[in-house]
Amino acid sequence: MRVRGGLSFTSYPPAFSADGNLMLVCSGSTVSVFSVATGLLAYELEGHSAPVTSIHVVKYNGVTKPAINHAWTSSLDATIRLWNFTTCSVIKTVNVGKPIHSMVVPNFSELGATISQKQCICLLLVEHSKDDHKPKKIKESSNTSDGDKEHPQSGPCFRVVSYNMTSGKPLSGHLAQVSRPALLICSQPGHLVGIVDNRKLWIWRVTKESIEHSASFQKIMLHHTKPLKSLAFDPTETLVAASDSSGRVLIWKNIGEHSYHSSENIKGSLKSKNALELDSNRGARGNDDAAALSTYHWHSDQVNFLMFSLEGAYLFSGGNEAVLVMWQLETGKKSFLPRLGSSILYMSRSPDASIISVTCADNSIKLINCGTMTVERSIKGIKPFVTLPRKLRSMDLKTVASQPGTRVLVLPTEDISLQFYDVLNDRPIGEIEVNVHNYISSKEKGWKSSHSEPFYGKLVFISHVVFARDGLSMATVECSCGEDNIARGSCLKFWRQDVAFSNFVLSTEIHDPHQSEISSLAFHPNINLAVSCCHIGDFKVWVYDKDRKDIASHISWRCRSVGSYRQKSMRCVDFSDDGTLLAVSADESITLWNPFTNSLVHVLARSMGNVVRSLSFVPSTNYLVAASEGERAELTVWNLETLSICWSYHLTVEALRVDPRGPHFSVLSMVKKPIKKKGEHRVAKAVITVFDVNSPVPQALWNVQDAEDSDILWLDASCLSDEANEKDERRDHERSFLVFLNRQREYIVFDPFKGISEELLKKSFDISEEKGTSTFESVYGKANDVAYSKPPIIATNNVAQSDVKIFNCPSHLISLRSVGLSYIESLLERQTVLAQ
Amino acid sequence: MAMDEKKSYNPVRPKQSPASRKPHAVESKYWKTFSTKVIEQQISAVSCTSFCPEPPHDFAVTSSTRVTIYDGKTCKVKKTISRFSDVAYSGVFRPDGKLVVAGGEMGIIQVFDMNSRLVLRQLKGHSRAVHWVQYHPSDKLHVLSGSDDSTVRWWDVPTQTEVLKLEGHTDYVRCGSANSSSADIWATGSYDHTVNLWDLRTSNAVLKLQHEKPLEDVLFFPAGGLIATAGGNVVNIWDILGGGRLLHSLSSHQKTVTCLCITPPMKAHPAENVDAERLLTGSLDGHIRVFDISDFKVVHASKYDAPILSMDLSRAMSTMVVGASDGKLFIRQKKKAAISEEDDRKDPHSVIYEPPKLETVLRPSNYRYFLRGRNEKARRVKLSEYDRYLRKFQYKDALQSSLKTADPTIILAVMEELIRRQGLISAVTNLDSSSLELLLQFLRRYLTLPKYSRILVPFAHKVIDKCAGDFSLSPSIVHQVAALRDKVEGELKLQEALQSLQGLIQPLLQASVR
Repeated sequence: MRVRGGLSFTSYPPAFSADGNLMLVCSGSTVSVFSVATGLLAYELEGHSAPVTSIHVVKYNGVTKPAINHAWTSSLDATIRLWNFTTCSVIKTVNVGKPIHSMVVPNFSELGATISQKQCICLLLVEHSKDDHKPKKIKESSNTSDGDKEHPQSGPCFRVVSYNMTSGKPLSGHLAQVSRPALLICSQPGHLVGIVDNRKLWIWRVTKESIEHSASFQKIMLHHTKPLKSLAFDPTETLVAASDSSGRVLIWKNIGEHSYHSSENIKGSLKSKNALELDSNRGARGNDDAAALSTYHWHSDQVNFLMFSLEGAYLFSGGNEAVLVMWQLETGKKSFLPRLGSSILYMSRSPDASIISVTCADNSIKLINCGTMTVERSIKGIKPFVTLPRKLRSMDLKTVASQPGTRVLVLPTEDISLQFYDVLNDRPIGEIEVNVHNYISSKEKGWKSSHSEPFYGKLVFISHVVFARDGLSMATVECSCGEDNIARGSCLKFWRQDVAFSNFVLSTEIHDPHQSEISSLAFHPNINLAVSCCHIGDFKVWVYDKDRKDIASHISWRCRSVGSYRQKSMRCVDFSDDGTLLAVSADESITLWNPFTNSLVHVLARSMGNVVRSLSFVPSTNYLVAASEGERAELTVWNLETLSICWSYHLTVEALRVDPRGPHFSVLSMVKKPIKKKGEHRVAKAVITVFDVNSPVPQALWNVQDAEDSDILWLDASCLSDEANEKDERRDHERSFLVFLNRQREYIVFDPFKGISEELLKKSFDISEEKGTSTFESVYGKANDVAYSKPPIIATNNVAQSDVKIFNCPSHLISLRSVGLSYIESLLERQTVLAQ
Repeated sequence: MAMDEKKSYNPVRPKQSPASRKPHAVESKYWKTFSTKVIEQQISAVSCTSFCPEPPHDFAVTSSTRVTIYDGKTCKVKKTISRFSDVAYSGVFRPDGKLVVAGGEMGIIQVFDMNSRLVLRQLKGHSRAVHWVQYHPSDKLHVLSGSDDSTVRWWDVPTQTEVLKLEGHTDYVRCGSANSSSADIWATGSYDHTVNLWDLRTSNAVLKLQHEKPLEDVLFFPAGGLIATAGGNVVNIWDILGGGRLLHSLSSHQKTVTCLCITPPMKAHPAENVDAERLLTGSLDGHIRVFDISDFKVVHASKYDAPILSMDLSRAMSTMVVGASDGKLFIRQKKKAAISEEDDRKDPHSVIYEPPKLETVLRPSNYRYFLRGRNEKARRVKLSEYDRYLRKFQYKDALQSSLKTADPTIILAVMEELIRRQGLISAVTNLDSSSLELLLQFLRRYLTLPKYSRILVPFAHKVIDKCAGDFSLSPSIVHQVAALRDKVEGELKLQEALQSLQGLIQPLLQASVR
């Protein structure tokens, strides 16, 4: 059983269907079709093998064909597909040969009768490498570092080309070349196409001849002094609105009067109307072909998207302030829809004039009624990754957790909330606001200069989410960067599950529990007890105070005791499975405490060791796993019976997670440090390894690309497979599944004990066999060799485990009856396996 | 896990910090709400103070040759009874508050009418001074008196006759108490170190308790099973039902304990779940100590600057009167006395579980049904001034208006909000002199409080850096800066002293662990 999910809806703008009842959303390599009326996912169009970049819904002018829903989609896999999205079938696939970043389909139908209805031309923004003839050389140069110096501009550039989709052939030549990918925008009637390129706008008018030649597109350019961010055409095709990085909205009027003079399409009435109010070329820059330029300024930060309303009277703008502004162009009046929660990325019009959709950066699409300026419905996806400052990375962060006993992942969001995300159904269940606050766009000027290391994330963020084993208690830690080191610190909050409403209620809020930020947090497995530690050098034991529950509803956890070990910095804590031992790391050693008496039991010291970064007890065994960082980073397994090291590896561990059921643990380790290259996506290769604590031989390995800021988690199989997979064996219920969650918040849930490596090699994950040799491979041999891949081996493993369980206690304690029963059970189990 | 869209502005919430967990602190806080209202100077030592059980809980103060009646609410003198030829003692009310009875140096017990101040009855029979006299708690006809002639007498007031003469003490009888659960049992304490329990039906001492010090005060607990006796610097608690067993001996006073007082069952904190009585003891060392009678531990102590001779608490727990030997009378009253008295009458649970008022549902039979919603206005959350400024991103104004509230929880919350918006530094640059003064005042007051210092200390550094040029603007700012410096210096000294103390303690602690 394998589950994938958690895609971003907000990478590219969505589109409405022609009747306005459906909305098509680019979500990774699929197109998700949502119902506008309910906001729920209707179905998905699967076919592309790389992210879908744009959707164009085909409109049949004049003829009403409500039953036919056709849409073109373009994708980074270099294909354009025509879909019938009521039947979910591909009608046509056109291979362009280059990754397509944006696509628009201009409208030729009104231009003349010479073109048949089926003739279809589109404009594409394709990735175009400079030396197209020698693609191999490019790859080499990107691999080696000195190749950079030889080709300083070897990064990709982007060209606007026109393409005949009917014949599947490109038209000769290209229209423009831009430095970075931007959206191609087409006007509503479909005769103007534009793109933003740094400080200028390219605008083309479609003519009859442009079906044949690219050169016959009539081109004008408009210039500005600041980098432009977006543009929009009004429905009459006389106005162009553009926004710049300082938040200004510029509107050029009567564009292209000179260039398009010969064109008969500009209606005389419009021209005269605009001519009344305008002198010639007032405000427009240089030789720009526009009659006038006017500026509107309200936004304090950059405007990400502009859009005219369906009839052209209003202009919508939205940016990082999370405020949707509706400008009435004639009077300059504004109306606002504030507090949308996150910065606005895209908007799109519905054929129904009152509805627009607004795509927000928190992976949600909001359907807005612009008559009442209210949010009618919102489509939410998994919340995007929250960037944390570098200096906090050395802590034992626990930003993602799984709610015990459920199939719910708990993810922190940018607005200091927690999102509860159903892994199996791939949809959010709910949210908890950890810190009630107002959304403030974070890019302010004083912030960059005051810190040596620029950090563009949020200033307050959730660094830890931890659940008690029974799932009734939750603890969260918010860290605050403060302003100029004022109010730096963290806030520890304990939550209690309200069983009646199945949500969490804040029970205790502790401001500044430690002198510095909390570095780790753990719950006792059986009783209401929690431990937090701080790298300044102390840990605190928190207890739940039942007697005081009724005194003040907010205070029910209190600090019972404080401990420290030689003023050493404490980075991680964990409780043993039975709760009798508490392990706290102290620099390079690990201290073991009795949590009830607060007495130091033992210190596991490494003379040559590095700072321990994370540690964990392995349930139902006597082992402790610790991972250290630094020059000689290590993964160490301690035997707590003999207080000695069982085995260890030199391995840089990013994440260490222990199977809550059994003797297995998984490790996410970086193979290569992420290399930053100019203009190139940085790629950090990593390996997920599953170990059995009893042996240093890895049980299974997976190569993962782009694993930075990823996380792995164990989920209980019983809660995953209850409805979905009845055909799965009973054995599955006694097993845990592994979740891999990457920075883009895509996840995959899989059974780590099955040979699924070849199935994993798919799509966006790029879990692929690694070429070349690395130190890691020299340790393990070739990666991707699944050590225990076949079910029979696992079965025998099970038997062996149950044998161990029988004889796990001293001989005088074994009752003959229990031995007999469990022995027979183990035999029975083996037989069922054999039968299968 | 609400999925609905939040649309409105979230106002800044005051930064609450948890209340201290120590029950003592809660108690102290409660007892400190009795703020000193008046300090009256009487002619000489205040030998007795006594509240009327009936509202408005007037109180009688006996000092020298007069008994003064004070109004229970305003604490002003209402009446003065001065028909004594010698020193008066033990002026107390009849339980219904209509008569006052007082003993005296002459050995005559006099009964006064409260309104006319006329002497209604005189009870003659004691040969020496009567220091203690008290009305029967339930019938209005009898009083019991104890005299220096070592007798205790039971009087019928209307007929002015002595009903019983109880002999058994061998020294002055200076104190006594009525058992509220059985009307015939009385306790009297004498300077012969014994407490006698009298059953008026048999006119015999049914029990003798040896206190081993001259008795100054005795007090039955409301349940009637326990008795507290004060003599010397010791307060003993006896179990009467258990045959006079000594339960506790409280010796937390340095000097003779002169008066005892017990509160009705009370909660020091509204959220506390157990009602318990408190025992108050006043002593010549000038202390009043409050004991929790569940475990007889001191929960609060307060110091007066004169030896205490008498004290009493009003039944409604709103007023407390303490009389001192130098004639000072301390009248302490809770600030919200009137409100709390009303609360007392109500059952405390009724406040919490008040049934919600049912809104009348408009039906089409009503004319107003057809007019509904015409005059409705959109309900707006009333925002505070600082919230309104924060909404408009006017950070300096927001900080100023929060400083005007003078509430540290609000100021800190606004400051944290500004920090989150990266606007605190800009909010304190170029402040005008009046708001700079407010800011410095606030810093001086709260800088050294541990719960605020983590934010305020770096903030104060920044303020001083930013505003150093403006310090010469006005002399009051210079004064504030100097005061701030003094405060910081004082705090540094304190920290040094504490550090050396910690250095002393740490080896001891470590030794004790091993």
